[in-house]
Amino acid sequence: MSSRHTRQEPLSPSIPGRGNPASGSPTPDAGIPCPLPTPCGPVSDAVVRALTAPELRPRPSPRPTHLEPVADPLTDRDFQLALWMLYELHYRGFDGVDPELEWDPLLLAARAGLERRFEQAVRELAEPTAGFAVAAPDEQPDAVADRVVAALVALTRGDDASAMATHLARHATEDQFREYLAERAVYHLHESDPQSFVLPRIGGPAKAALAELQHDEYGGGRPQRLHAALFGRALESLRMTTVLTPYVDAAEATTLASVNVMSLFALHRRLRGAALGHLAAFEATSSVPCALIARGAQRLGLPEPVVDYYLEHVEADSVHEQLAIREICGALVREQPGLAADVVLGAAACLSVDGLAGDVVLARWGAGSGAPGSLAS
Amino acid sequence: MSRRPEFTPTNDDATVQLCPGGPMLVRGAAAVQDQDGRTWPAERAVVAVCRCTRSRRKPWCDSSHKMSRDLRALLEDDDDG
Repeated sequence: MSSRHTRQEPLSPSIPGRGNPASGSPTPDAGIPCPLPTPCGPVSDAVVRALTAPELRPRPSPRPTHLEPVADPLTDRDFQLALWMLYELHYRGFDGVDPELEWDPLLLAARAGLERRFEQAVRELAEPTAGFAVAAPDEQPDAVADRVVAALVALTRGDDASAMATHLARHATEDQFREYLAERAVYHLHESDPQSFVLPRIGGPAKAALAELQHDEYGGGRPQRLHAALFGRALESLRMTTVLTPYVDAAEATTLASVNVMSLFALHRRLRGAALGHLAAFEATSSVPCALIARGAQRLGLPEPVVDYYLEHVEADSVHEQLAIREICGALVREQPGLAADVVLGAAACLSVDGLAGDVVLARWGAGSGAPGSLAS
Repeated sequence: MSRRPEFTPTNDDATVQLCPGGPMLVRGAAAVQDQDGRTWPAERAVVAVCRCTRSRRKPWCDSSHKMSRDLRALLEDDDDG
């Protein structure tokens, strides 16, 4: 194992803001609202105006006409930022924004309009990958569950890791590594929170197993081991802020989409199967890449909390993969075989949307993935 | 799988589940031990114990059972060749 040392270097220029643990910045994952992001087009601007309108005035809200110019919701930053803000009202909310707005009917209607476009785009991207034969009416639930488990294993088998993880292991510069952490911060600072919305929507063995998985994600009773807090400490060790807003302001559309798709699935009971399929694919394609990313952090001599965050996931996600595929998704489908196709769709959505998000960042670095997963130098 | 497992829970009330082609999931273990009686405390409620013998973090599964030979070589290559 190569030697590690702590570097004290300035933030990379693409990441505004800084969290200085010594000057009273919040504990990582303290659960407090962040400032509103900066709008970047008509849709996100309409959301910010709605969220900041003075009380007792007619509240503006995004209108369907705002969505007409959106050609591809997955790669439209304005669209994804607007949707991200509307979802964030259900998590931590925003500094200075009235918490009542979480259930404002006009904002919910606006969100539904965005979600229809988004869900359609996600389905178009993911359905070719999913390729799951819908259960016949006379197929036994155990047989459907076995088919779903086999499909999830097959979808996530890839014994080569993602092009992103391989690049981080072998070639990434420290600036690129920091940029990767900054993109991923949009999810990891809220790590595992979307899936908690699914717990009350399921029952039986699948619920027990999801609770077990979430308990581990949330530190197993030790707040300092909350995975979001571990990521926060990794950021702080690089003198990067743990406030979400600057990362959202700098994130690619496809990064926001990769987080929004989790909220889309988790906040709609109708899509609970997809939420858990997404979780299964996420966990089952995490351990090996995390080992590679930890390897990259060691190669660059990054501080120990960065290496530790990824090494924690090497072990944790080897457990979670089995829990999510067999005991969450398998058990869910055994009890509700009608959800089988949604589970596989959710897994395919995770792989295709996250794959797209990784490719966009690699392309930004001129390190495009000619052959995804290739180990060639 | 009839072969005797390399690692076993130290307490009898732990439950064990074998994942086809993957690790052994153990719930409620205080620790696991190898055949020489060396023990490792279980630091999470459910642990995945290596069955393929290739893990670099034994006794815990690190998903090495899913890795290609090239990938394993990359992780073991400390000179980044």
